[in-house]
Amino acid sequence: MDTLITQIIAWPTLLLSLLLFGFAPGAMLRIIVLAFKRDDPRRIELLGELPSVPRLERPFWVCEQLEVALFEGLAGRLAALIGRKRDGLRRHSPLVAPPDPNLSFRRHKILESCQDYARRNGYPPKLKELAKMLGMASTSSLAYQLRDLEKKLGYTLRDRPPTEP
Amino acid sequence: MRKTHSLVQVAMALMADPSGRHWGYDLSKRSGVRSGVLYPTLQRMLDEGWLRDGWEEQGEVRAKRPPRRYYELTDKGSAELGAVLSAARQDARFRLLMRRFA
Repeated sequence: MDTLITQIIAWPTLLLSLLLFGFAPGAMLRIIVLAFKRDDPRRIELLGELPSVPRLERPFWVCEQLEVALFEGLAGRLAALIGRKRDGLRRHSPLVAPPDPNLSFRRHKILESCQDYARRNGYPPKLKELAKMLGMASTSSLAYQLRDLEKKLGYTLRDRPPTEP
Repeated sequence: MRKTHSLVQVAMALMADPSGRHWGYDLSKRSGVRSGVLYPTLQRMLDEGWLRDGWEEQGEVRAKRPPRRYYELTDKGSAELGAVLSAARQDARFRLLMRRFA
């Protein structure tokens, strides 16, 4: 009985997927890339690549992209979702006690990432990059923290001092 | 970056034409690395500054197809990948692989 049911379910699904992947790989790919985030360049990249794949190989290639999209695209989306809910700061870095007792953990993390980046690249990070490094969803709270760090605590974090409001 | 078989394979495919433009599908064909591994590798190389990416200009695009994303090696990238390859040549793990491509 069980096998009968699975067979009834399995055959049409198999046929349908064969039809879809075989005859409309472009349409399938368009649906598949929706798994990536809106601003992910991979969305357009994959669509741009389809025409250069030999026609016979396209169904297989699209199947492969389905796997890629499921793992990477959805994983990225999940990470973004979780990161937004939970504070990304703690996930990204091991716990180190702040060297400056005036500094909160968050500010210490900001300072550390800033210095790390500057050491690696020779210039301080952009606000957006810093937010990404820290796993923060927006730059506004970060801008506020940076202003405080510079004005009240006297750290130098940018090339130019912040302009007076 | 961790030296894995796929990294060495991608490095070989990229270094076959260090100054040219590379495309995802073409790279996966030539390196033999599946796209599920290739694209994350390329992304990591972009993050490290080993690669530069860009989109084909409309003028270069023949017929009706969307522009492709291309990858180019930076100076840092070709130095780093050269190092990866020469290290792989010494490494017993990659002996089979290197023989196949040599």
